[in-house]
This record gives sequence, structure tokens and C-alpha cells, in this order.
Amino acid sequence: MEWFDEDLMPEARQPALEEVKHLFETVCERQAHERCRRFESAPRDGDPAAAKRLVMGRAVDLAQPRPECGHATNAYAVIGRRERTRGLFLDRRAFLVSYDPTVDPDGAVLARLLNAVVPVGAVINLEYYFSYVDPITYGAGSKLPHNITGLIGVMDGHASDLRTGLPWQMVEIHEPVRLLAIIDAEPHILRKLLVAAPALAQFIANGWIQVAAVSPSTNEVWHFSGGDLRPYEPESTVLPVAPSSVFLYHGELDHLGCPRIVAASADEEAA
Amino acid sequence: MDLWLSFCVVTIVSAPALAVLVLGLLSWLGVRFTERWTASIVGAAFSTAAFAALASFIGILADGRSSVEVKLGSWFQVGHYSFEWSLLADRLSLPFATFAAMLVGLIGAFSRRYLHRELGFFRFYLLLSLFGAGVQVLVLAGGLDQAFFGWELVGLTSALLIAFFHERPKPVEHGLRAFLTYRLCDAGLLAALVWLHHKVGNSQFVEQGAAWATLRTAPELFDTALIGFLLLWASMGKSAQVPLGGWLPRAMEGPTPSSAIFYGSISIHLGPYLLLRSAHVLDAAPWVAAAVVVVGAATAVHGSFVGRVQTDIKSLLAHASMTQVGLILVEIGLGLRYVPLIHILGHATIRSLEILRSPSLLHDHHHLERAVGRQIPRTPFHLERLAPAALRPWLYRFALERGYHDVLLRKVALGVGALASVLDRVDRTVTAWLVGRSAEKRSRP
Repeated sequence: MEWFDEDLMPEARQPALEEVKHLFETVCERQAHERCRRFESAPRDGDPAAAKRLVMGRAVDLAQPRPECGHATNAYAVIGRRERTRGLFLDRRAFLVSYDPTVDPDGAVLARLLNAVVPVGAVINLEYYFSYVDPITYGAGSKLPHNITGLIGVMDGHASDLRTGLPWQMVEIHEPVRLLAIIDAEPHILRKLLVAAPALAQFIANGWIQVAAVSPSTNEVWHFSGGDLRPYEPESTVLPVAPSSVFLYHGELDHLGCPRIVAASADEEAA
Repeated sequence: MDLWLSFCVVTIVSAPALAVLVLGLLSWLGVRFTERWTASIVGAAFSTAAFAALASFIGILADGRSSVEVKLGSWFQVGHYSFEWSLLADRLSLPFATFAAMLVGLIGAFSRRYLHRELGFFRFYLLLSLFGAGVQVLVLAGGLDQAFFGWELVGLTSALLIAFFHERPKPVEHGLRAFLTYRLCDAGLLAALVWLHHKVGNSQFVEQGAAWATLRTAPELFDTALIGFLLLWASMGKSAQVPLGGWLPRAMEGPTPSSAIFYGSISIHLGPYLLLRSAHVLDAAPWVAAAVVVVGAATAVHGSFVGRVQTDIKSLLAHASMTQVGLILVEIGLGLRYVPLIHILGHATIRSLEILRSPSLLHDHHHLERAVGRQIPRTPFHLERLAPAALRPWLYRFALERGYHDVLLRKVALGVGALASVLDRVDRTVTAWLVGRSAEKRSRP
């Protein structure tokens, strides 16, 4: 992480800046560590600092067809208050969009948000979906024989059509699911918004995306199916618990659930 | 000292050969190698070979001699002829051997990440080490008979690596095209060998006052020239010279590192190597030397023209390679010896890097534009403007069609095919007649 204009910082604030810098560095390292768990070639027992060096090296490695995982494995979007997801292990699979239903009684903010966020998130997700289910037709095939043409795109080897979609190396760890948008809003408000936005409603009704509403007042879950939002009965209401995210993902390459992380909740309570 | 030097020279060939044996035999017996083991075995073998080559180099220099020949024994003997296995390490073969061993090792290290999780990972490494071993057999060969083995191994692995992604039809088609071109030109090498044995009686490389050991010349100029032309024909296929070079841009179907090592650096330069090894023949037969210059110059011009209109990076680099190899041939034909050698090593180094970088082209381009602060200016077409304006559209079309060489080759191939089928029919008729006659004879009491 690079910092600009540090010299403009007042002398008295220097210790605070140092603290922030240290904090950011730790966050970067831990984030890198969590990303590394998905790389088959990364060591299973590296520490966060080593993980950060590793991902920085991958970014500039000519021989590396998988510098990062990108949006691979993305599965859901949570549009709501961050308190609702705090302490959960989301495994880098969620798009998080902040929205506070308590200050938006008529859903005007939500309407704008949905029109912007849902199509974008859904299309990103669908690109991964189709590149995974048919890498030859919808995806770009393997990256290894790619040949850049006209500075605009890639061909396979000596001559082929321009390859669209994502290469296999980018999607191989993806799980082809449609995006599930979980919206922190009352179902009647969401219904009203969908009537007002027919394009969005069509997108949802035709099954390109799944939508669920979590009522802010009752915490009940409503799921859009069969043309309308219907109450959803969860299979289990018990949330698994893990002491820390490292404990949870250590040595695991595959998808994981999203338990509550005790360490994070404890930090929060202490604060 | 002699024993030590011989050991080093033998190691250059035996280390890669051992890697091929270990990987090939064990996987045949059902052993599944992990990626780490595969890459480590290949890396260790070629590092050993590279160090052995360097050690031989230093040993030869320290000993104050120009070459070392290691006799490995005789394979068979027919009349006055015996097939000798021998390795020849000298000023020509050692730079090649060192460079090839280092480059194969580096490509092995590079590909470990590039081909990670690829289904053909093991196959790639097996073919890479087979190629590396083939190159060492070829460049260190003490005679042309032995070099032929290496020559064939290189051709085979090249075709198999072009067809690496055999689930798609195009790579297989283009692999086959390269293989056919190689075979067509290998016939030249084979014919040269036969003629050498017929007229000279021996195909060993010997010291005869040139820069390094070369082929003997035949007593008559005609035979020497014939052998020279056949060798030129052999090297034209491997080095993608006009008009046979159409396979080269099409060969860019395999994984990028294999394209880099074959068509950017080692395989493509084996034609010039063969000509350098037969330098004495070129010196003795000026017509052959002139033909080498003509072929090289035509290829350089062709590659330069065609390369200018390519829109994809790998075809562009293939034609750039072709141009440089053409220039190297011109140098060889003009009687230069060390200049082409240095040209080969320099060109091979930079071109393999360019091919390895080619997947990052867009990234590099952005980086460059950011550094310049605006769009990268187009080159002002200095060379293109030398052509008369009226000719330019035709030259453009000529370049776009790659000199119509493919059409020409197809016509020739169709003609040869038609001739072959006529001969086949004659053959069948005559055979049927002969068989019928002998059957008649037998049936007679």
C-alpha cells in the first residue's frame, strides 16, 4: 500500500498515522493469506507476511496464468446494514452493498441501488457461470495457447474467432450458481419497487438472479419464487461458530460454509 | 584431465537422456509423477547438463585445445563401414549445447507455474526433455549419421508439442503440417547421408583447417555440390525458409513456452547449425554457398514483408524469427563462421523472451503508454516508403497472402499426389501381372 502526501500530516498526528499504517498492513497481509488458501500452489502453512509477498510476486509473474482468483466463487450479494453480516466468514463469495432500511421508509434509496447493483452483480456472476458450464463456447478456453491479436483480444493459437468470456484458469474454482441477492428490506417495499422497475422484475422473474428479502422488523426471510416473494423456511436456524477464520480455512482448498467467527465478535464487543 | 573432460561431455547428453528414461519408463509402468517431481527431475537433468557443458568449455580452454572427441564405441560393422557413436565437443557444439541445456532448464522452471493444473503437464515435460536430449544428441554428434537421430527427435517432439491441445482440430492439423514439412526435408538429409557414404565412405566430422570439424568433401565437385544442396534442403524445412516456411506461424498452437523454445530459439536454428557443421562443403562448392545466400535473403525479405502486416503477436514474432534466420543463412553463405554463431545465440535469447512475454502484450502496452503519457506513436514506415507508390497495394496484398506460398505448396503437393497415384497404379498393375505370371508358372506341372 502506498501513501501520498505524508509530509503534509501534522507532527502531532504522526503516531496515529503510524498506527493506521500498521493496521492497514496487517489487513493486507491477512487478506492475502485468505486469498492464498485457494491457490493450489501456495504453501499450506505460510504466515500472513509470506502470503502477501507471494501474492505480490504472482501479480508480476510472466509465467503465472492465475495471478488472483478475481470474482471466482462469487455466489451472493448482501444489500443491507453491515451489522447483519459482521463477524460472519463470507469466504470472499459475497458482494457487500451497504444500505440502511431504517432511514429509507419508502424505498427510494433502495430503488436506485437495486437498479445499479443487481444488474452489475448478476452479470458478473453470469459471466463466471457460463464460462464455467461451457468453457469452450461461452468461456475463452485455456489461457495457455492464447495469442493476442490486433491489441483488442485473444485467439486460440494461430487463428480462431476472437475468444469471449473468461478463460478456464479464471473460473476453474468457481461454483456455477446464480447470484442470490439478499436485501435488507420489507417484502412489501421490495414488491412495490419491482412493479415500478419492470426491467429488473423481468430479470428476476426469468430466473437470471435469485432474490431474497430479510425483513428488518421481523427478521423473516422471503424468497422470490413462482413470480412472487414467498416466506422462506430455513432448514436450520443454528449458526455454526468458529474461533477464527484462519482456524476455519487452514489447509482447506474447497468452498466453506459461513460460520460466525468468535474472534471477530469478541473484538467488536471489546470495542 | 582427458577422462574428466570426456565424462563432462558425456554428461551433457546422458543427463537429459536419463530424465527421459526415468519419466518415460516409470510412467509407462504406471507411476504417476506429481507436478513438483516432474519439474524437479527435468530441472535437475538440464542444470546438470548445463554445468557439464560449461565445465567442458572451461576444460577445453584450460587444456589449450580446440575440441574433444569422445568415442563411445561402434554400433555395427558392414564391410569396411562401421557405425561409430562419438561425441564431439568444440567451438561450435559447446555454445549450442550450453545454451540449449540452460534454456530447456529455464523453460522447465517457467512452465512449472505456466502449466500448473494442466492435464498434459507430464506430457509436456516428457516431450520437453526428449527434445532437450535430441538437441544434445544432434549438436554433440561426431558424425552426420548420429546427428540424424537428434534431428528426427527434434522434429517429432516439435510436431507433438504443436498438437499439444489435441482436443481441438487446428493444433493437430498444424502439427501434421509441420511434421510433413520436416519429413519432406528430412528426405534431403537422408539422401545426403546416402550420397556421402557412397562417395566419401564416411560421414564423421573431421578437423580440416576450418574453424571447427566439418564434413568431408567428395572427390568430385559435382558430388560435393549435390550433398551441399541436399543439406540446404534439409535445413530449409527445420528453419522455415522460403517457400517451405508456412508451417512456422501455424506452429504457434502449443503452450507459449514450447513455442518460445522451439520457434524462437533452438529448433529453428538447427538448420543453420547443420550448415555450419558442413562449412567445408559450402567452401568447396561455391554454388551451394550462393544458393544458401539466395534462400536466406529471399526468406529475410519475405519474413520482413509478411511480418509487417500480421495482426497477431505470435505470427508477427514467427515472421521476425524467420527474417533473422534468413539473415543468419546469408551470413553462412557469405563464408562467415563466428558471426552467424553469435547471431544465433543473440537472436535465440531475445526471441524466446519476446515469445514468453507475448501473452502480456496488452499489459506491456498499457505500461508503455502510461510511461509515455499518450498513445504510442506509429512508426513512420521508413522502409515501406521506399517501395514505389504504385507497387504498395500489390506488395501489401502479397504480404497479406504470405507470398502465395501456401497456394504454391498445395499445387505442388497435389501434383506430387497425382504422380504418386499414377505410380501406385502402375505398381499394382505390374505386381498383379508378375504375380499372375508366377502363379501360372507354379500351376504348370
